[in-house]
Amino acid sequence: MRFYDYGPSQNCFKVRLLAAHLGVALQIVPVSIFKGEAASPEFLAKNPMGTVPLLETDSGECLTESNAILTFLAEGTPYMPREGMPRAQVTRWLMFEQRSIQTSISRLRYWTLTGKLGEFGREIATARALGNRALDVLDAELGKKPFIAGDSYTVADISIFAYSHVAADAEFDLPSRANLTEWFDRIRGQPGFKGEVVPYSTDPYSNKKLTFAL
Amino acid sequence: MLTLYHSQPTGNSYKVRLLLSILQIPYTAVEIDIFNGENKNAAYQRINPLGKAPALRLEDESILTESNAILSYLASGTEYFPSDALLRARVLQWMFFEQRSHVPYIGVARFQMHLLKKTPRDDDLAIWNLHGNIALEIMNRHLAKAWWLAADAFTIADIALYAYTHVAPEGGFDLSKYRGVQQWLERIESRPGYVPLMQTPPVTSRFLE
Repeated sequence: MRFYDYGPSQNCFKVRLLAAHLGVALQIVPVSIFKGEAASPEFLAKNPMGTVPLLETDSGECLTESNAILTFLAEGTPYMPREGMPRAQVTRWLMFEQRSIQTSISRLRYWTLTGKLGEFGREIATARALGNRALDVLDAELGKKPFIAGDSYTVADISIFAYSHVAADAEFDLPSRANLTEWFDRIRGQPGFKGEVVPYSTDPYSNKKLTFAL
Repeated sequence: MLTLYHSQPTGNSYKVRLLLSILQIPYTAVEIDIFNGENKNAAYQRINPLGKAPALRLEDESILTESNAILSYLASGTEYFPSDALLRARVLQWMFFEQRSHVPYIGVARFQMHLLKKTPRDDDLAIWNLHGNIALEIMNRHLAKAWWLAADAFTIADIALYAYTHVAPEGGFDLSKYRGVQQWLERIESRPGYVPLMQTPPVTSRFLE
C-alpha cells in the first residue's frame, strides 16, 4: 500500500502511528503540499480534494480522510472493535475529533507554527474557545476510563492523541488537565508506539500559502 | 424501544430521525428544548454530559451521542452501511468531511441566522461563505459524476450530508449554483421512508426533569 504523506501533518502522524502498532509496512510517498504537489493533476486524479493523508491500496483504490484511513487499516484488529456499541463509541470519538479538535487545535497549531496567525482574525478566538472546551471534555472523560472509548486502546485514542498532545504548540494549557496528560503517557506506553513529531521547520516551504484544489 | 433525545429543528437530530424512518424502526422521541437551555439542566447532563442533542438511549439504558456515530450504529448490518471494509471507510470518509468541513460553516450559519435569528457579524459571514461554498463545490463536483456520495447506492453518508445541505439556503447559501447537489437532494426526497425536517415523530414527548 502506498501512503501519500506530509511529515509535519499530525493527520498523517495518526496513520504512521497505527501502522507502527500493526507492523504494517506502508510505502511512503512524500508530498510537498506547500510546493503545490497535492494540487497537481496526477494527485487530484487520486484525491479531488487535494489533501493528504491519502492511502492507495495495492489494487489502486484511494482513500482519504485520516480517520477513515485509520478505520480501514484497523478493521479486524484490536484497535477497532468489530461491532455494536463498542464500535459505535469509537466512531463517536472519531467524529468528535473532526468536529471539535480539527476545527480548533489543529488549525491554531498550524497557523502558529507556520507564521500565519496574523492572517486570521475572528477565527482565532472561535478556535481557542472550541479547543479549550474540547480539552475539558477529554479531561473529564479520561477521569472515568483509561481510554477514550472505554477499556481498551483504539483508533479513537490514536486520532485524538495526534493533535491534543501537541496542543501546547498553539498555547493551550495541558499540565492543568491531569487526566489528559496521564492518558498521553498511557498511550506512549502502548506496544509498538512510535510518536515522532516532525517539525514544520524541516520544510522550508511551510510558510507559503497552501494551494487549494478549488 | 429506543429513545431518541432530539431537537426538532437541528440538522444533527434530523439525520437520525430520517434514518429511523427509512429503516422503519419504532422509537420514542423526546424533545429537548435547546433554545431554552433544557440541554443544560442536570437531568439531561446525566444523559449527555456534553449537553448536546441528539442522544440515543438503547433498551439496556446505554447512551450513544454524536449524530454520525448514531447513524453508523443503527445502519450496521443494513444496505445503508456496507460491510465491505473499503466501502465502509468511504462512507465514513464523507461523514468525517461533514463534521470538519461542512457543519462548522453551513450548519453553524443556519443555526445562527435561521434558528437563533441573529444578524451575523460580517467577518463570521465571510468565513461561513468561503468554507461552506468550498464544501458545496466538493460535493457538487463529485455528484456531477455519481448518483450518491460514497458508493453506487444510497448510504448513511448521503443522509448525513443531506441534513444540513438541504437547508443551506436558511444559512444564506445559494444552491442554484450547484446543479449536481440539487438533483441529489431531489433523489433523496423521493426515496421511500423520507420524512421532512419539521415532521414530528409518531411517538413523542417533552423532556421533563
